[in-house]
Amino acid sequence: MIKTKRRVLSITNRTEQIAIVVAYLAAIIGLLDSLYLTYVKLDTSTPAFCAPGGGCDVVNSSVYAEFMGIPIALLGAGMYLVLIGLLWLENRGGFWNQYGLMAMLGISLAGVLYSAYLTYIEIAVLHAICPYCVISAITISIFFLVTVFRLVKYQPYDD
Amino acid sequence: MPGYSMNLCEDLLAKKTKQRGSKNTVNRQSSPVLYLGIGIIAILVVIALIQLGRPASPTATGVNIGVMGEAERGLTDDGLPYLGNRDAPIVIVQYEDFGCHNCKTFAESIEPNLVEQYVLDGSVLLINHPVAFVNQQSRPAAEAAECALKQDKFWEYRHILFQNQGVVPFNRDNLVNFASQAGLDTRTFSSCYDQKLYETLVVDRTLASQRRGVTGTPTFDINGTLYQGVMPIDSTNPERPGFKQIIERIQAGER
Repeated sequence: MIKTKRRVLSITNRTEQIAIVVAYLAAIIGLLDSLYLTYVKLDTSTPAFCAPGGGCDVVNSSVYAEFMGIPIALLGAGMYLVLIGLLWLENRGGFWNQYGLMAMLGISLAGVLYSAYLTYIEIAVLHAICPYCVISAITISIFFLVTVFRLVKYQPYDD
Repeated sequence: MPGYSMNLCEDLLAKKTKQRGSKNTVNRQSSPVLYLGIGIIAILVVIALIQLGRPASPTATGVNIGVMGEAERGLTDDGLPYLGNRDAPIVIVQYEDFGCHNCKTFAESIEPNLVEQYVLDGSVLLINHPVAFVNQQSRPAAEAAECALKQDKFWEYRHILFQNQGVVPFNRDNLVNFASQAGLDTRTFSSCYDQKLYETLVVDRTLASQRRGVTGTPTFDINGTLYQGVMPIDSTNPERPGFKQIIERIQAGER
């Protein structure tokens, strides 16, 4: 029985480690993507000019690209930073070991829902798709799914 | 005995594994109430973000286009709307796309000053040349603007289009609603729009602008020279002069 338990633990650990690496990768890609979109949003050095098919330009300059004067992309970058911080803290034990994954679940769920709303705005209102926004929607979805997977597959281990 | 020893070893190994794993998982909380609470909080946060970030839809009834309304208006021989003195020495053809946010920026923040300083005094004739190639909003908006032009409300309709750009989609219902706001006869407008009376014209004008060398918007043709991008009235950058510098150069006899 113990043998079985140990084997299961070992596999689960490896799976979880892979899941954590995937979560880190998704968050880092999402962070870089959001930082690039923030730079594009704040950069005023390029001529203000609309080229045909400039989907990102249309999306990133719309009223939906800001929240109370703050670029949405910057909020996204903040979210990814927090998620990376939580992934790191989770492994340090204590409070974040207990509640870190829960916090990641809540933040990434909010990120997925808001990304879904922004994608709807791109399709239904702006009629323009920004590939960088799509990348962010994908990375936060991956992060959320990995978090759910970790919660479901790797339950607390009590005697 | 050996069996006991084996069990002890396995037990110790399991404990060790558990201890190692404990760093990651043992203390993890999994209460369903917590899951539910987190889900509800996440949803509430997103609803709050959407509600607080949603732009107020312009609900203007009647349009005040400000200084643009004071300028003399008419149509060129090609049917393009213009503001100003037809015999003005400087002609600016403004290529714009109603789906382009930079055209909106120019129309709302720079154009009124251009009109006030150079169009009203008769120095500049400002011709508007709509094109439709930036995105999916462009063509329906350009066709609708032609229908508004037919009722001599192009400038009012254009003002409303830019007000609503990026706020609501330029679909049929909204375009007809804008027509009502601009004081147009909506029945005539709807009929014009639905029959696609200006579909070919919009395509032809867009192709003509591309042959002229217009690759994006806004582009300004000032007495035959093309300038791309939003231009300020005044500029201290010699590489990107403003309207003031270009107009003064032309007035001084330079090109």
